[in-house]
Amino acid sequence: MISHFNNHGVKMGYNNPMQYTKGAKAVINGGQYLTQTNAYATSVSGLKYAYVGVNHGGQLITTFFYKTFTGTKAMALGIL
Amino acid sequence: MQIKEILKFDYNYAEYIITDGNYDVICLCLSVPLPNNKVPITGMEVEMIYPFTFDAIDIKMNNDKKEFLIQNKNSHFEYFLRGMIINKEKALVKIDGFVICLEKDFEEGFNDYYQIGDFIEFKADRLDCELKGYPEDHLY
Repeated sequence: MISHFNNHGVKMGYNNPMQYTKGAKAVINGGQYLTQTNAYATSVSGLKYAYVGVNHGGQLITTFFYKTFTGTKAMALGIL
Repeated sequence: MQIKEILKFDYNYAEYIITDGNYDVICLCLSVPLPNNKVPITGMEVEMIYPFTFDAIDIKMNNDKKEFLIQNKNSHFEYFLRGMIINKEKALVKIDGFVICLEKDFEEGFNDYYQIGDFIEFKADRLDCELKGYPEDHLY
């Protein structure tokens, strides 16, 4: 998670890897599970979504970043 | 455009160096996980690159400098880019051998202020890519 924090988290406004991980856990707890990618997503603003990937067992966070979903896609995923 | 090097790959996350033969850019992959347990490999073709910006994308026309520009900023993913509009409706911009699609930011395409052949420049906080044959839509 440290390299992901360096490459994604700093620009997302997190000050350290712990904060970044906490942010990812909040997405897992409050977001929509996306079966196809084994990930969780929640709306941030407009069509920007916070996206957290987890491993097969769901115990480990593989990444956390922001991404854009089109309105149609977001609706299909149930996250709009 | 093709994968020159796989920087990271972990089932649902991948980062690559993408090359057009002359220049390289770092991209996050929107196509993973690939179906049927396939994995990305060096040499795979990239269909499209999309800029991601935290805030609304800010594009500026710059026909005074009709030169392609790919400038990696200080952070891992950030680029300052200058390219030529090649398709207004699909908001496609060519930068050397790369084709960048701004359709997610300009769903209706570029307005009439912009014409094919115009050079525009913009900052991307990250570049995302789709592999040929594996559009992001295959996941959803």
